[in-house]
Amino acid sequence: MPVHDYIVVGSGCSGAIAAQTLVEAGANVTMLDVGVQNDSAVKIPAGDFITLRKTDPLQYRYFIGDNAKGVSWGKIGTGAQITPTRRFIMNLVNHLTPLQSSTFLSFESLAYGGMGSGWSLQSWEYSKADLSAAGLDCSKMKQSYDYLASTIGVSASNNDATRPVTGSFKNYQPAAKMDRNNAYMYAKYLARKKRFNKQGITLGQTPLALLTKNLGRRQKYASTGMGFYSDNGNSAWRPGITVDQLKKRSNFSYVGNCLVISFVEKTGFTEVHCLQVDTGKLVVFRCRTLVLGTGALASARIVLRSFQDTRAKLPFLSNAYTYVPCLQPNMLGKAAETNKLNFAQLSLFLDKAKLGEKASMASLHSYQSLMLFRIVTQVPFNFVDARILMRYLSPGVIIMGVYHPDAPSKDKYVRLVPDAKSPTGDTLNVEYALSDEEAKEFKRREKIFMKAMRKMGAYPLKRINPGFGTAIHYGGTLPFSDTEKPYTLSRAGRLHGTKRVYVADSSGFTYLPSQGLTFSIMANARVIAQEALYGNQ
Amino acid sequence: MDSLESEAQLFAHYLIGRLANSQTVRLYEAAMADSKPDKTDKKLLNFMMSHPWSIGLIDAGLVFHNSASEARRRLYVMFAILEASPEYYDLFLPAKQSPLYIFVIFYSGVRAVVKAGLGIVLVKVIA
Repeated sequence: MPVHDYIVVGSGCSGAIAAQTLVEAGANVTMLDVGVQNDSAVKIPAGDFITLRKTDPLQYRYFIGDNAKGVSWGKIGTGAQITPTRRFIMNLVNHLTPLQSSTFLSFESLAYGGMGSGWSLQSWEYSKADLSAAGLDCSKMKQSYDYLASTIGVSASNNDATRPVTGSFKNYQPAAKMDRNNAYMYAKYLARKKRFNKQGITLGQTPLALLTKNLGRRQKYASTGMGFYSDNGNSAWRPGITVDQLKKRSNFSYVGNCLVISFVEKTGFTEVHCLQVDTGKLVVFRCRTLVLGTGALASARIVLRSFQDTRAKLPFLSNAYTYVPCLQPNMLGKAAETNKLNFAQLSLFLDKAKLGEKASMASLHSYQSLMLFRIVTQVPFNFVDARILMRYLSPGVIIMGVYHPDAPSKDKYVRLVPDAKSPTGDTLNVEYALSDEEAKEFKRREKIFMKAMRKMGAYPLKRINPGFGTAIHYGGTLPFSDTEKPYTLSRAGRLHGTKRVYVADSSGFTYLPSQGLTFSIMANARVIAQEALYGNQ
Repeated sequence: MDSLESEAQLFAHYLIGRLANSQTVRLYEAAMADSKPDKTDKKLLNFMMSHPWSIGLIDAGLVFHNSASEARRRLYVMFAILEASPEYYDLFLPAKQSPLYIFVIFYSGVRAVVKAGLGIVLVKVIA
């Protein structure tokens, strides 16, 4: 049996960047991945959202899905807003990686490109305080951010929200143009900036992994309002873009349909045990160095299973999340805007200056391209009157998503429990609860955010708590530690108790700042891959 | 005309005041292929089919009586199908309105409340 130099597990944000770092350094890399493909085969014609609505008789295939499978009904769970062309992201997860919880709604992916295939593109750097609290090396991470910003293409502006956290803007592309809803709010903020800042509120454009200038063969964003459905020019960075490029290199090979179950370190190599998804057969690979980049929950599963431990409780972090639909009265009754940016355009921070890494953050999305049917059930009216009302209100709807930072506690943990029905013989149990103090503090902050929105001309309608886990920001299951404790990582990302098993995803984070963690996961994956390359312990 | 086809026509007429085109009917039939209404939903659907004037009242009543009911899901799916059709898209996209349009909104709000009141009673009687 051949012994591979490096095996990287997973093709998501961390796996793709870890593999890229190793391959570019000349290492031989094999990627093991389930790699569920987007088999919907829906070809979306070129054109903007409104033109396609007017002209394409087959639009139902990408707006509501074949047999209306993309029309969710009843209790809204995690991923309910995912559009039909991206629903493949969730395929096979419940079957192959089951999870049970009485308090937590998880979202994982076994897709090609992982959860990054549906990522919101928010590319926040962590500040020095954030990095330190998360257990990450500040100077290495800043170098990684700079490298990634220029290679994957991140657009950002130097503003009140980005300035405190961004090291250098020289590698960033210019920020995308805001739509009228966000431009109006931003103007309101700038007019009262001093007063907002005094209250600890800062607002600025969100950095996005979205091209505003062509980069290689990738084209700049076309502002078609179709960003939730298609991306013909690859203007949004997704991990699949990087893995596709790696496949062209002679020192990289990709093995799909492969669910990694566990590993065993032997003398001189590590055995990686996998379930072949299409045949149900067990297969074994051997490697000198194993790099897990499967996400905090999946890495916890693989590690616990490898040590055959159904007793250990691993810590777990997830940003608490609430969303608040708000209404801008001066936008009511306006015609639909043709050139719309679908992603979060503005981000609001509370007490960044005072609280540092403990600040909360809200991202603002204006509503249009997700269609009326997705919000019409929010009105307690019959559908006829709800349509009339929402058609009038929707140009003024802004969704504020509020994210809170998270620290470990005894009420937030994961453990592996036996489950005879699962193909792997186990299920991951997640329990998550906030302390009374945390819940009270987060509620207080949400009220301040809502007050700030009112002052910027957007009136909050109601606060919706979709449940723990719905932020889809997870980490901390195998935290960094300077001592050789079980189920922790060295600063180099090596799993304590092993010689050459590294974990390159957010499992090591000892704290989750409120802003999106994906860009930091990628930067960390690059740092860990470099450590693995040189065999750093 | 089979029952799903007539249901599609009645629901489209209720939702947008127009008859459904053949593609809309076909999409509705495909979407409803695995729909399994329970006894109560069957009663409600049968009543709506035989008394089309009641669709709006039952829709409004179900919002409060049983918002997750299969009967209302069927209306919702038809809503989504109509929205994703080039023939009807303009009834769903925001359009420029005069400030006086607020009176239309006010009227539909009042109408929705009245329908809900009557609908709750009607749903209870039928179910």
